[in-house]
Amino acid sequence: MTKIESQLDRWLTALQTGEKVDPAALPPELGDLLVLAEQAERGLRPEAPSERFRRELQARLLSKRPRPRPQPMPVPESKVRGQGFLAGLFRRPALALASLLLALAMIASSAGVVYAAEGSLPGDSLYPVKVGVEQARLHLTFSEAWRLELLRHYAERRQNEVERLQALNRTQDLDQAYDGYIVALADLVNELEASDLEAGNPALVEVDRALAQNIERLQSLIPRAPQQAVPALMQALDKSRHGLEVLQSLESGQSPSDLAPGRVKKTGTGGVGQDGPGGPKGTPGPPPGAGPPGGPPGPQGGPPIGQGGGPPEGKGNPNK
Amino acid sequence: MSETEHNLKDAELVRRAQGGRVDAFGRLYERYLDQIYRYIRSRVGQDKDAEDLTETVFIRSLESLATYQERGHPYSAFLYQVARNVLVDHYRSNVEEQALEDAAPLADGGPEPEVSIEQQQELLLVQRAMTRLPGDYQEVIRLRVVLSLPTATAAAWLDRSEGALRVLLYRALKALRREVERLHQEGD
Repeated sequence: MTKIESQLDRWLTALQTGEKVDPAALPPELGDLLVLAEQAERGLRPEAPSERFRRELQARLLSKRPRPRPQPMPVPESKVRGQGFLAGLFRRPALALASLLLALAMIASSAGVVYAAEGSLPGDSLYPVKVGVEQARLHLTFSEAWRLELLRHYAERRQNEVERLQALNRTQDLDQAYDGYIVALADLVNELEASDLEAGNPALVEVDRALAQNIERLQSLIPRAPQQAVPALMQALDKSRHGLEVLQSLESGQSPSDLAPGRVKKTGTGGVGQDGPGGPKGTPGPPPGAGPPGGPPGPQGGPPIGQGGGPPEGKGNPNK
Repeated sequence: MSETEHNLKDAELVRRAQGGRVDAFGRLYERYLDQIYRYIRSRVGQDKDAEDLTETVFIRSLESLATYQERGHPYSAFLYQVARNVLVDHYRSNVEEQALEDAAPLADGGPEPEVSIEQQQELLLVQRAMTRLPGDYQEVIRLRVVLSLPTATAAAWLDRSEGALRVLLYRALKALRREVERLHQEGD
């Protein structure tokens, strides 16, 4: 992260905590963005809930108690047999044939698109297909070891994409590629943190190898990368190092959740000033599809590392 | 309620709520109602919808307490995920409404009455420009700017590091400025 992004965040916090900020006294770009932020806040700010709603909902919630989830109703066997959509098809051969042909045509065309998307890069029209297929595959993978293997593979793919774009000098797509790369690394590390695999498991060994290799490649990439790409690469480096730490903690039998996610231990080896943790996924959300939340917000105060003197981060406890 | 109880961390409140203390869930509710309601209200056009959806979020969360595993994350991040899913369901069942990332309704009552017509037009322009941004840009502006969430909270909600969130916010505001300028040019 560069200085200007930290400055913007700091001044925005100052504005939000009621400090007097004169945009004219700031660098021109920051001043513009802060004015815009203020306009967005004024134009889009929603009102707080009404007192009536607040009280009524509270009363309803307090009258409830958590209930175990209802079990699915058993389906009578007579309903299972012979009454479904497929059974209906078999009673109508022409409809069955038409459906089969349609399904085959769809599969053939989809497979062609998926195949063509495999070699796409961020910014290409087929790239979302490639990422979508990856996500679908991930969702259908329930073995922890296989999930790790997939996530490791995806992180390597993202890194290759960054390198290919750099080689092709497609700088306009690099931002997206870096974002994807960092997200892929974060997903891998999050999966590691939630992992119950035992030390020595081949999947962990493979991730360990890949992360170590990743760090080497990143370190060699950074000196050649364009200036604006360095913060993202440093962040990727940071994530990879954190992943190795998680692996070490798994090997030593500690809980990986003891490590602050997104942050490497202070070893003096070039952290990136990530001044707060991101977060491991890991709270299984019972509501349908509710992904688990991110990591802890960490200390709610304190200026970014190496940038003392600014207004405090946030307004104290956000959980007021 | 004692001061100590008032300051209990989310994890402790969740643990108590899981042990059957409904009042502990009440504390979580009080703590996060505003944030969740205002987030949902920023995504839907009507107060009534926002109230219904907020209610669904808290009821689903209460019902899922038994299986919730506390791992040190703020409970609000979990509520946010539930809210996102509830919004997705809402838009699926109201297909004629705007897509999730396109919804950027006016603040209640539109721009403040004391601002000049020129300023009101500028605010409307910003609102329109917001709808042209990619989803993640809209979301970071919504959380960090519109709802004024602290960086750490917004980062936890979006499952990003604080550093990544700052970068995203900077890019999002720059993109917003570009869109505002583009709208100005289109209006000329």
